[in-house]
Amino acid sequence: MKKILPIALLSAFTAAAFLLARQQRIDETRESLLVALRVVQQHEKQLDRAASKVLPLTPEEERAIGVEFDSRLTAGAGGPDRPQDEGLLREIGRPLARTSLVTRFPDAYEFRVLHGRPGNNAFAVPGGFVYVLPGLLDRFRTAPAALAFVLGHEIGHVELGHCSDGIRTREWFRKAGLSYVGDAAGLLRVLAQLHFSEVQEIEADEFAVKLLKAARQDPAAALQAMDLLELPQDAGARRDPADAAWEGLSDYWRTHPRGWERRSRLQRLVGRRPR
Amino acid sequence: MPDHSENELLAALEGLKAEVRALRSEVDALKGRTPAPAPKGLAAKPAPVAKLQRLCHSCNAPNEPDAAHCDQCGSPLQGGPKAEAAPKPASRLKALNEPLAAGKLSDWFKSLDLSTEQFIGERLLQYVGITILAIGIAFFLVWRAAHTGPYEKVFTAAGAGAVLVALGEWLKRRPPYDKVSHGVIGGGWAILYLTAFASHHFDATRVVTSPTFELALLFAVAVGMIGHALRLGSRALRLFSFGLTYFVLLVASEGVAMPQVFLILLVASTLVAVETGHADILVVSVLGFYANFGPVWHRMLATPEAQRSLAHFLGQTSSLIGGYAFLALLPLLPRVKQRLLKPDTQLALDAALSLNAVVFGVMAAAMGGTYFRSLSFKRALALSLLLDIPGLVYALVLPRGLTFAAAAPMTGLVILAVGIFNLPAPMTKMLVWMAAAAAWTWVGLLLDHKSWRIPGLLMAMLTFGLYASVAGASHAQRHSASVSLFYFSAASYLASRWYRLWLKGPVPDWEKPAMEYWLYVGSASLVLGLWGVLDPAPFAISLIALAVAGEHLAVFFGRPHLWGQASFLAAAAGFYTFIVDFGANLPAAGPLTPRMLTCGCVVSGMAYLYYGDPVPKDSTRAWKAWSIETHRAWLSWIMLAVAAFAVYHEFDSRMRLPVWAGMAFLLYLLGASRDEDGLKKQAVLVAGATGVEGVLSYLLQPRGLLAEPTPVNTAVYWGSSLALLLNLSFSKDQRRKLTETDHQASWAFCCLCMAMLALYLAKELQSYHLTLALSFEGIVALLLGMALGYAELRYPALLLLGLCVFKAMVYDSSMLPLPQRVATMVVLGLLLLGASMLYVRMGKRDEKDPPDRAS
Repeated sequence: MKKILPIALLSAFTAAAFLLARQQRIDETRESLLVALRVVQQHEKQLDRAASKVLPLTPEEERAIGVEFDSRLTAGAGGPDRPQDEGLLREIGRPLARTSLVTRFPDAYEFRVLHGRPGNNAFAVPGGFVYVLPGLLDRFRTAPAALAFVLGHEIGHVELGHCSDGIRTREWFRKAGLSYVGDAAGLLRVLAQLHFSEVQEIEADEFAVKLLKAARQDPAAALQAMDLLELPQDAGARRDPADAAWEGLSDYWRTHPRGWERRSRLQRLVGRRPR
Repeated sequence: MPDHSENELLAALEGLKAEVRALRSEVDALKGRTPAPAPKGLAAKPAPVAKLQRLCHSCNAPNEPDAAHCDQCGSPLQGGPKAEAAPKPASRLKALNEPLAAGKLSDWFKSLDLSTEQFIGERLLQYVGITILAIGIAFFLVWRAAHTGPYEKVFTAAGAGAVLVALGEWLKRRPPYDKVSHGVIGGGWAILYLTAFASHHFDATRVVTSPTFELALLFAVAVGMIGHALRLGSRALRLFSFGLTYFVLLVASEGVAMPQVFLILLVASTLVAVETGHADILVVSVLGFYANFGPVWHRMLATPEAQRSLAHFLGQTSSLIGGYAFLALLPLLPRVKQRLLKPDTQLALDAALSLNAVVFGVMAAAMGGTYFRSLSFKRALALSLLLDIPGLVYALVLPRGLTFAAAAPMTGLVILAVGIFNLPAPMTKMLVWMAAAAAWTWVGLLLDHKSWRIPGLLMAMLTFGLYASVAGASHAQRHSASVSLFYFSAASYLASRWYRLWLKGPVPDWEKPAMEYWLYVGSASLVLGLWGVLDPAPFAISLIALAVAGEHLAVFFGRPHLWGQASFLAAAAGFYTFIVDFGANLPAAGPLTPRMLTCGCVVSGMAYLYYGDPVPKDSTRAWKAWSIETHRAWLSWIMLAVAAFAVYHEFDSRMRLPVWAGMAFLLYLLGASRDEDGLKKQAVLVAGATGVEGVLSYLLQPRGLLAEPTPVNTAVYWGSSLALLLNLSFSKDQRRKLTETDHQASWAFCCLCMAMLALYLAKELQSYHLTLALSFEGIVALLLGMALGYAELRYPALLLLGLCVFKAMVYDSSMLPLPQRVATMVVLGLLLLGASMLYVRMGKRDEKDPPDRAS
């Protein structure tokens, strides 16, 4: 037994390595410090969430703050007003907001197009207000399923408390009449959030996929959205240890994960192998 | 009549005069003159005892009065005998008479024994002065250029130079002005030499039209200048004259075949150096000779592309190669060995021949590289051989410790490395690189010559750097380069087995680990090669496979270093899994994802090493970096971390809790069965961490990010949580020897069980439903704890009930409408009352029965 066991073990290892080598694409697996770093960041985010239990913000309070934000944003928007654009967004976004996953602002989401602003982006503010820039809308106009993923991603930021987490501390101090302390605490949180903001994006992506599933839409639209956003397929085929180290070190300054990371996580959620 | 004091003063004056005369006679004796007789009537004090000797002008070594040549450096002695001075009064005399530690430049500086002020006053001032004088004369010539004809200019300058030379000779015989004589003579010759140069090269002073005649004139002046310098025996003047000769010829006419002229000059200089025993001439000659090829190189680059060929290149550089070869062969000649391979001249010879190898190598490589647009491997190899062959002969023939014997093969290897680097195919490039590294090392081993071994070993180490640069280009290149690393690995393992087979004598200290070095190179190449050909997942598996195989092979071959490497690889495999991103990580075999497969293999390999223990402990004692016990202890922690990390990524926030709890429970069982307290501690730690993670990753996680609780998941969760209570039967088994860790484990598992159930309820229920459910859980646990007599269940149950009371009082009562609030309070109150009654009953029972088992 003592002689057979190592031979059997080595044979099993060889078989497993062979299987993996055959199944894996060259650029599907890679070395990255982010694997371990994300674990730390996820725990940081959970501690950030713990603050929401200590300093809770009710949906009504959050909505009131959101209305204020919304009035400022829409007042500053220029360009031609195209009501059909917001109609399209409502048509796509409302079914998502009515699913059982949406618990904080069920069926209360407002979708707006910020005309006259450059860029291919979308964002959300507390209280259930989702904004899409015209550049992104034009790019996604022919792919409503992908646009649904984008809206679901923004709904996710609101539902998962990412938006309210950013203003909770400041609001609490403001109510207590200590605005300056609130501003300072808010600044510190922004610095901290830079470290785990990628986790928030990953969570929002995951939530969006679940939302699509709950709304009985094709979750693979998430991958189509990545294509339309032209996020890179993979940046790690070179397997350079220096690149991997730099990737881990420079992660603090990024707000969103790299394209390959978002794609691979979505592929797993959707259950589709990379092309 | 002079009074008494006047007499005393006169006597003192006479005494001082006598001292002055004594000192003067001493100075005369030093200058080789017969001391002047003391005037009559003066009671001259006896001069300090002086032994007449002849001092060498080159090295200042004392010689016998009748010696014709210096005993130390062999240079001819000039002038009359000189006296060895008494230790006082001049400190310089002492330095002059002390024999020098021959051949060391620093000693020569020390021999000057000059203070800063003396150096400035006696040396620097004359050098600066003569330079300024030469510049002044040059300006004078410039000024006169507008007013006089070329003949007048040339003869004026030549006359000035001749006058200076004559003045220097005259000053040499007039101490103390002899100190400035060499500078004046050097300046005079410089003016003469430059005048000879100017007589052809400048329109204003052109009196010689034939370049050949001008060259002959330059040679004639150079011969005179060098001859005079040699006769004077001044090192500074000697080096100056040779340097000036080469420099002026460098900028001289291009109408003459200058490379050949320089070759002749080099040969002549070398002959002078050998015959006079002044090896320092060679240093200047080598620099001057190679400096000449700067213009040659410049001309070669102007050759049109179509005319460039190997024949043309060799034709242009034949003198360069000839000069190099002539100097390279020099130390093999018996007369050179006899006259220059001596302690006092070896330093200069070493410097000259090392310069010859390095400058030739660099210059030829650069010329070839720019002429042919790149230094191809073939040309690099040919050039390398030109350096290596003499290097080989030096290693075989000459005594050890010569710098040039090391410089030649090192330069050859560097040039060859550049040629290899320019090879197009990555695999060929890697293979040739490693072959060159191995060849140099093996030659060094066979000859037992470290000047070959060290570059070879360095190049072997640089292999990995080359690999990184090659592999980074593309996947195909990385693959090819990796395959070549496998060959290198095999060769290294062979080398580690048969290292030093040919060597004789004691092994030097630095070389003792060389055998193991090859083992490390072999393993590093193997691992790096595997990294290159495999994706991260199979590579991680290969690491643990190597670790398992390495431990067995270490036992088989009796190599503790191999065990050290294997144990390192086992740990590395574990750490590596932390940085592998498995991408989409979709199932690869049935439900098994790549991460599960990879981490499963790594953990099972580690478990085999830990539990199978294939290595006898005594066989690893020679490995000093860490003990096998330490390694195994670390391995168990890494194994745990790998498994926990994989579970974290593979399961969602809810389902990872029962898996971790199961792991903790298994660890405890293993620890209990093997009676290992370390494993039990790990179990307690995992149980505690699971509880913390339950709060952080599960309780705080938004429901939208959790998987739906299917019946199977729920059953697994609850089943695993309740199964933790089985631990009580082990941790309280009185048949075993229980420790403090067992006690801690029973508490940890009971608390974890209750916490996991409470977390599930907290996640699935809200408001007063949650309060009631948690109260129910608490009561059940309390009852169970009472029935079984386990305080580990009762205390957490009481804590849970306390939390329920707090929640009901503070939270539920404020949120609920009155009927539900009443219901909650009533039910909770009744439950607490019931619990209290149970406690009362248990207390009565305990009065009759034996004390609580748990407490």
